[in-house]
Amino acid sequence: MKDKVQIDEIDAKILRELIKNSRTKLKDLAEYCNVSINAIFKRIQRLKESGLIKRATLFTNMGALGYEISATIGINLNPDQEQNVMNLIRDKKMNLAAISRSMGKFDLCVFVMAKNLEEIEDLKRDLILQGINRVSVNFWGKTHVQYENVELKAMGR
Amino acid sequence: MDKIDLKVLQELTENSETSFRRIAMKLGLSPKTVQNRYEKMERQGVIFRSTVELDLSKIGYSGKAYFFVRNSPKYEVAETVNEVSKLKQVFLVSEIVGDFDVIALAMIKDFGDAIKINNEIRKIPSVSKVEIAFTSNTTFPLTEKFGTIFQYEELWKNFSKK
Repeated sequence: MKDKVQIDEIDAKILRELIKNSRTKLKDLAEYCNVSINAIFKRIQRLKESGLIKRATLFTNMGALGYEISATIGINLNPDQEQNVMNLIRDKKMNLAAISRSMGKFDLCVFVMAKNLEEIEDLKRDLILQGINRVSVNFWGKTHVQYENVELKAMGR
Repeated sequence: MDKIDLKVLQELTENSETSFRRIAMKLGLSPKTVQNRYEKMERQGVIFRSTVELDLSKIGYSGKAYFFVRNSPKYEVAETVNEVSKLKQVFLVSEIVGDFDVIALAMIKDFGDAIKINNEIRKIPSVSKVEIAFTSNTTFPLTEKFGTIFQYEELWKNFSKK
């Protein structure tokens, strides 16, 4: 098991605020958590060094940038086909593709964003040409995000 | 949207804590311009928010579960979405079109977690079928998939064609 990081209630509070807005001022965090600015700074430093905070980034609406279609593609394949699929998706330069190996219903879950339907059709056809017949395409509609549902606290070792 | 907007987006995607002053220096703009661009894109809904990406394996999560849910034709899909969104550990729910009607993503500590959530989804009256897939990816939230600009040049090419 990877090294666990112990976090307390204040760390969890900081994390939740940073998920909502990573540009939140240290001063505001300090007020919100009722500790000193220095303490907030040190805590964030520790959370970053431990690897719990990977990076600060933007959450962008790709629809507004021309990627209007998002889809999850569930793929069932033989293990020896996996590399081919990864190469295929990489070579297609689908700008926003994320591939995760998975267990259960599918062997690979691919998340793609595309400019139009043809791109997804193309991908599906190419997958089938690779001999992968079990491809399940699901297009995303309205999405609801509830970060608060996820428990952020240190769990027992 | 123009090239400056995209540059600002790229800088902030790499590190959303960077001060507007620093970005301004790098791009040869005034800090005020950078701030205006940021605020404009926020207003227009191009930027949802500045956020941090966490690695939840560090606090004991072992991965994510994807729940593919089929809705019973007798009910509205919205009802399933609403019920599933209330479940603990479920952080993203979307209506989908395809083999299934709703997808839900949950952070899970172990299989027990996934089974528990699975059972709770099954109990919802508007749900007719649930399938699960697991991944060991522990990144939270989903910035890696949603709205991360992986290939800025590609995006710009595509954009300038419009």
